[in-house]
Amino acid sequence: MTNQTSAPAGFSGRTLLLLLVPIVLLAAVIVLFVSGTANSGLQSAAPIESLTVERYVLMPGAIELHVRNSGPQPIRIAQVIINDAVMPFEVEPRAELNRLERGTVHITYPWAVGEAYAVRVFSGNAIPFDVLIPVAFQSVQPNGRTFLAFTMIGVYVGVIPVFLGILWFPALRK
Amino acid sequence: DFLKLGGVGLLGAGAASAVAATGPSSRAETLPSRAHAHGGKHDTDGPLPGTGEVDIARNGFDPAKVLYDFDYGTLSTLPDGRTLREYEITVINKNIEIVPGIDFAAWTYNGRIPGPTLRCTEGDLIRVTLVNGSNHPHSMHFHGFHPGTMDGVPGTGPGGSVAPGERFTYEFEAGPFGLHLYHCHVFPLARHIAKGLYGAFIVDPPGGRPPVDQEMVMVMSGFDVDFDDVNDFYAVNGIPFYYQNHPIAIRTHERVRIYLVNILEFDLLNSFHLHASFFHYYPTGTSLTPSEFTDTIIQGQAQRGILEFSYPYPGMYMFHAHVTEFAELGWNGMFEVTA
Repeated sequence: MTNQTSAPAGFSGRTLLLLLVPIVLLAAVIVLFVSGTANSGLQSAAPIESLTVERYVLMPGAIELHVRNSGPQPIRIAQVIINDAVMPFEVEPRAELNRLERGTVHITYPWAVGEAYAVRVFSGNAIPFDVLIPVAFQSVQPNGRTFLAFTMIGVYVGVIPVFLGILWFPALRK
Repeated sequence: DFLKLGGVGLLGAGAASAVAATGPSSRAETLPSRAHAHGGKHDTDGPLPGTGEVDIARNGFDPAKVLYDFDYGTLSTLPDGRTLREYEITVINKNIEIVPGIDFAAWTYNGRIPGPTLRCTEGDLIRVTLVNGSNHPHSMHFHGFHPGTMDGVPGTGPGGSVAPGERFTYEFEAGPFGLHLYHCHVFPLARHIAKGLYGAFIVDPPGGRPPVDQEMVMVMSGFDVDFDDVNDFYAVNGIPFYYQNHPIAIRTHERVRIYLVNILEFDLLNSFHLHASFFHYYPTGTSLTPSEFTDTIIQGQAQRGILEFSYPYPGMYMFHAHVTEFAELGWNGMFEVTA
């Protein structure tokens, strides 16, 4: 390896300039891209909408859908149809959900235990989003009884077997 | 150590559940009462299918007026003594809000669904000028007597398909007397009809029918908003649930005549059921003698008939398709009968 005589330690002005030019050009390209002039010819003709029903809750006389706008543009919840009946509904916080925003659709509906319900949510662009409730039953409530039930499960499955195992310890020691 | 930890954990869980049990658990017990913004119904008897109001002003037509709107055309007398009636109909593409929040990209005759109710007398000479103000070819196919070149079917002449920007005048002698209809007959036929190109065509018998107190037009149809060839909403006179939100006013013992046309696409049958009263039914209106005295009839697509009835008692009475699915998806209305 030959010992090349190099420029003084640190960057020379010329190297610095050569380093910066691609960065500046990159910034310019990004600005062009983001400003939309580059892909204005590729605008999507159809609206891209996606509504995800994350979960549904059944309470006496009502069905609640917890939804999220999983598409790239705002979506408006226009109509709700349950088993081929157009039902009045309310949306919290409002009918138009922004990108990735969550909403709760509350529908007063006299559902019956054990029956199936097909819920269709129509967006403002007439795109249907379906959720099937295969067997209707009242959703589990987050109250003390449920808490106790899950605690007992935890005790049976976790705590008691471990304790039984530890009780062998004296016998094994002998 | 481990045992102590486990014991403390159990105690903690027990305390937490005790606290949670005393906390508010409102969801299971009470149904929150909210103000219902949709529908005109009192919800004290439970929720009813329905919607709120659509923007009638933006739609450009009002089903409350369509109900009583008969277009008799421009009248004149021909040298041979016959009556000449001239009508002009323009095809207009229009986005119509059929239910709150959903616009239906409709093809309309004169900007309304259904198209104008054309009315004349048997023996009149009819001239209907179709102006195509849209971007697809359209036509007008009449149910009734007319020559083949006036049939409005592609391949039968210039009236079979009127290109965008063009116009054609359909001319024929009106007959037979009865209730008929017209619609576009350009391929793909199901879509051209389903998107709104239809209307009623009434040919009165010479001398007219026996007088009644109220005459109404009802054109039954549906809307497929997501193009899966299945109707999503159903309606009479264009807007689902309209007469449920705006009951039709009639008086007790008033003789009411309804010109009822079915132009529902994608479903085999439609029906009409009247609550608490029976009607005389004149199928296609081609006879002055009724064929039935009943409260429910079915009509296949393009079948039509005249109903005559009156209400003996005041009250709110539903009228709807007795295909219940159609009723809950928009084909439902009310008569408000007052003394």
